[in-house]
Amino acid sequence: MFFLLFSLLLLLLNALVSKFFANRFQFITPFTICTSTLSFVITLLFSLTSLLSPDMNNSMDKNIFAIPWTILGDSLNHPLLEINNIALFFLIPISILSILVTIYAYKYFLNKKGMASFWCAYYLLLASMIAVVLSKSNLFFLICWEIMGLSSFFLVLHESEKQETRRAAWIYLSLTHFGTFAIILFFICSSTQKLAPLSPTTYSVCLFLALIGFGSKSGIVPVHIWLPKAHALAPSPVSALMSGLMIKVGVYGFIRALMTMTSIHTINLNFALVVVTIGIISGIGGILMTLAQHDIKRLLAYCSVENIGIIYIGIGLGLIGLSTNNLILATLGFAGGLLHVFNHALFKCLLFLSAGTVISVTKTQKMDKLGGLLKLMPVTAFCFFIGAISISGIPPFNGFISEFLIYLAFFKTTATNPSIIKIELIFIVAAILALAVIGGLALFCFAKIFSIVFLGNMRSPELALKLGHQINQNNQSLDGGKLIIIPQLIICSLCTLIGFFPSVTLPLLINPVKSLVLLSSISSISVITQIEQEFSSLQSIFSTISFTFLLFGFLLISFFLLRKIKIKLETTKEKSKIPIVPTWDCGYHAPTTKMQYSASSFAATLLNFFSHFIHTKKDLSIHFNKYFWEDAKFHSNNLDIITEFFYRSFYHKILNFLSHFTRIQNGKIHFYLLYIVIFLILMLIWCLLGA
Amino acid sequence: MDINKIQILLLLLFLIANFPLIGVSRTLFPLKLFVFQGLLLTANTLLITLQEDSHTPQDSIQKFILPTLILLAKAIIIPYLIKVTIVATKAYRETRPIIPYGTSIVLAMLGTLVSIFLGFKLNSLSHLSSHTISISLAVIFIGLIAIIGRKNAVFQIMGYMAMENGIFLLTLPLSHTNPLIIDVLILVDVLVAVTVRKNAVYWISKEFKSIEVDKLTTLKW
Amino acid sequence: MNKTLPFIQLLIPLLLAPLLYGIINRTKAIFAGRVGSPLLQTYYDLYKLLHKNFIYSDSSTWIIRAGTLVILAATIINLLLLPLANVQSAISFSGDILLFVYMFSLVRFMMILSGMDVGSSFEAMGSAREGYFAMLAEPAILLALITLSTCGDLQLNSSLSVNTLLSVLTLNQYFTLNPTLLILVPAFFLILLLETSRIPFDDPNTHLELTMIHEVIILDHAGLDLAFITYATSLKLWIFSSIIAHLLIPIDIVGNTLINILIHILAIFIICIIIGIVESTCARLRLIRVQNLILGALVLTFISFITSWI
Repeated sequence: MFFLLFSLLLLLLNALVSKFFANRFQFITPFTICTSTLSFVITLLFSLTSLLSPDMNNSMDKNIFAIPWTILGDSLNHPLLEINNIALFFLIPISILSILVTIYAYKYFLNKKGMASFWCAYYLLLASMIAVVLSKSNLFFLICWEIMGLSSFFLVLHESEKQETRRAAWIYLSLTHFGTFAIILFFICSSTQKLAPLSPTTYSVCLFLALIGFGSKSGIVPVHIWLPKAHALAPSPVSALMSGLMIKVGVYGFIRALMTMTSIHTINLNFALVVVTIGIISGIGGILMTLAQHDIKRLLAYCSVENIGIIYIGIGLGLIGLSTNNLILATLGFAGGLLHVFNHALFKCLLFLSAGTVISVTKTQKMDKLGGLLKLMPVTAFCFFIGAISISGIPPFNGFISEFLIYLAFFKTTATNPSIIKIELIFIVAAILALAVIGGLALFCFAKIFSIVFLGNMRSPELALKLGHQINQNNQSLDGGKLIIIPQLIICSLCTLIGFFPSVTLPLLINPVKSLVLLSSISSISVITQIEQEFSSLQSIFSTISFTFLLFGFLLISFFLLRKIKIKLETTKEKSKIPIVPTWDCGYHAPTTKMQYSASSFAATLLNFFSHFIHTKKDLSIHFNKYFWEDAKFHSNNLDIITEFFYRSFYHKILNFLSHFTRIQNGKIHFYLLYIVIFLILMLIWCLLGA
Repeated sequence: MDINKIQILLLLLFLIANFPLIGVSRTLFPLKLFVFQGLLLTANTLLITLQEDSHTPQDSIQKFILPTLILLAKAIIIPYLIKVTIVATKAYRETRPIIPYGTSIVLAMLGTLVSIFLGFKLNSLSHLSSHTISISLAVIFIGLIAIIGRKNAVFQIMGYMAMENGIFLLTLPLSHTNPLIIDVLILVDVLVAVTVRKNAVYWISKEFKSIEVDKLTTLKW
Repeated sequence: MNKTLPFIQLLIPLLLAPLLYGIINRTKAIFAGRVGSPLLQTYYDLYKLLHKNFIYSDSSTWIIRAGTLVILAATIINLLLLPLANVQSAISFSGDILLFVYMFSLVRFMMILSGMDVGSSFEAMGSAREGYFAMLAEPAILLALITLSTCGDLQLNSSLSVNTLLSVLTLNQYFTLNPTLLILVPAFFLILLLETSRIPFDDPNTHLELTMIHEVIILDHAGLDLAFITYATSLKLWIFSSIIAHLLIPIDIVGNTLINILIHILAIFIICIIIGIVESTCARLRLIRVQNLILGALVLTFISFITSWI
């Protein structure tokens, strides 16, 4: 606990120092980066050793921090901070990714001036994320939650000269406060359970408030509308942090809410079904909107919505298992959900960092202007490729492993009693089918974004010229320096490691899953042994998977060697190189790079199939010059139906209703004075009547 | 292989043969499947009636009346009448349905799930087996989707026929408690309905030059 | 299930897979009244391709060079997971159904990227269509595998691998399991036609842009790359035909393992003849009708899934 407090204090100190001194002294920013790296390394080592050690639950005193003289956490029964298994599990991705993203951000913002407030808000965000995960007192949790929301608001507002950024930050602020409102209501409702047991309706209302409140921070449909705007318009390292880590803190909040609520009651089956349904809707809605985007960061932001859907499907399946006393479903569902939290943090940060490099080099976020960037920035393209494969859930990388666990939860449950038809079986089958559809669509989306941005030729000739000049001047690739490439490569190697050797995640998962499964009211000893049996069978499955993937790697290498032998034979025989010729164009006389597929045409047939759920708005403007047309422009945009049809109409209705009251505020001073006089007269009459 | 398994197979083929009604744009293909459904119903009726005991020789001949009537009505006469309608009004295709093909198939799958659930719940109330109830309800739902989601009047006739098939399937297992006359009356009713509709569609097509149902709105306020 | 010869379930597909194309082409030739190419034509083609040179486009990168290797390696891993009549698969673990389905996803991903790599709209069109149709077929495959996992004696042995799922149809279970599997067979047949790019989804003969999906992606591959991809697609055809043969014919129809294997191979050849008949008698569907046919396959798998509940 001392280590965590130390790292927290170090981060807060960094924030203060950056705010006041970073603009004046140049050495402050690298110094703060080093100290924050140190603090996160301490956090990471502490979390790993605590999670892996078997006697975590016994040493109670070291796990609690209380400040006796404050209202917040004053005694051992109501401590300020507490370490539990799930908090440690969430601290691991937070620490790893914070180090890597901070190093990237340092190089990204190296030549910009006036970054003091940015770095202050940045360190505050990191510190508040750690504090939220650790806090046990509800009031302290709310304080840190607010700090997290506000600091990320300021980070999103970094380029506040653009009007869209201001609007996006404003929408983000309103929705995060709506979420905080729901959380405050939840805390009020749930704290009454210490006095008397809750009635079933209050219990359901509490859980629903927790879902909405924490869900608005995680980004579930229908409270996700801030996500695409904020993540698309924030600077790339900030998007990486928000998408990779802050959303997961929302998931942590939801799990924490469940743990406080179910210490007295058991989990309700209907609530578990609601969680699974929300997971399915977020997953499918998110991936459908991802298909329709042609802006890189908006696409990645909608993809976060989809992956949060998958995490909620995993957690929902675990809750169904708890409420129906089905231990296998509970264990594997929770394990899959938690592992997907970790995996998604990894590959979403990787994707945002690579996309950040692309955007900073080409100065545009539109996919339809890019293309052929693999030749200009090979390392970034490779990292993006690994990220794209991982997020689609394709073996042999880590996305496959977490989706595998969720599927395995379903298969093992239905294999034991398939002939019983109950309502939860329908939901579980629907969840698995939704997962299959989501996986297929995610593959399509990421094939689209990778191939349009990095493969082929550059679709905008001006950009091609400019970048060609840049390469000739610097005589190196546009990847950015070592500090940009190394964090991405470290994340790639982590993805590969978890994919090829998934057994390394099992010791990290077993303790959090135990604390989650023990929420239900069955007896502990047999439950723990069953969980350990389940995990040991998972261990054997994972070792076979490792063997298969290593065999796959071996086959790949042997085919590669065959190919190399053949090339050598060919080139020595005729003493020539392999011919590289222009692409065959079917005899067309003048092909241009604009004739390649664009982002919307790649996905057009698929969007046509789902046209009822994705609303496409097309504008065509043609200018005529008496008889001939000179200039034509076509623009198509895909709108989020939740934003358009719910929020916008709701907002307009409220505006219409409130506009009737604007007559009171007509700007003339006499009327305001008249209102004061009327109010005083009414007060006088009331007091006279009262006396 | 026992009778129950054969019956389940026949019912499943019956359900599968109804899906192209809502998923296909040509009208002649569901019609051929309609003939196939009539044959399946005949086989099903034969199986059910052959399971009963025959007390008198009159009973044993009576057992074959109903299947013959079904064969005549559902597999020969009604499809012939509908085919005549299609040829006369030249309504071979429907290209833009109100509910698109993909959505209607997904809706039909959801409806089948719900009807299975209902079948399990209603199993205890009557002595009909749960698979009969499930499949009849599913077929009725498919017929409803065809009626609601299509503009072409011929598809609406065929949707109505599918609903009739489903209702008939529900009443089949009760045939040994009811007298024969009720089933015969149902069949006659269906025949009359189809003849009336066929003539109506023909005259509408002559008058308005098309049988798209959403063009027939001149009688509104 | 026993192993008579080690790795026989791997050797036989590796040797016999290119023969399947010969059978399909010979069937089509008979329908067309021609003599047609010899049955071993694909072997001759592979041998010829091994001697041809590489040639690459100037817009292409390491993706197209590595794509062929990944495709062949992934297909061979799937072959390792597949049993052959009575003989167990080489690798089998609980839940390897997912590895099976997702390895085909890896193949599809690399195909789409190889298509987009050369920067021409031809291959990009093929990539877009391939992604779209395969995405529609994926729920059908998964639902079919879920159906297999809920029928049969799986309560007794709860290992859920491709191995046990496909070995569900034994001789004494042949008539009790039949309605479920019988409805599953046309669905798997449609999925086979889709995944191996046959009529009515794709025309393997023409090279016109209106009709190509798979053929257009491999337009820019040459030499050893084309040999690898042709061999990988023939292995894929074998894998899917083998799945259908496992569902049609009981795996232990006689006692002797070798005769079971021979009967299984014969069943695969008959399935290829049926593919040839379908190719000769049907026309390629319009692209907007293809989605309805794949939805039809999904409906068939859905109905076979609910038979385990009725």
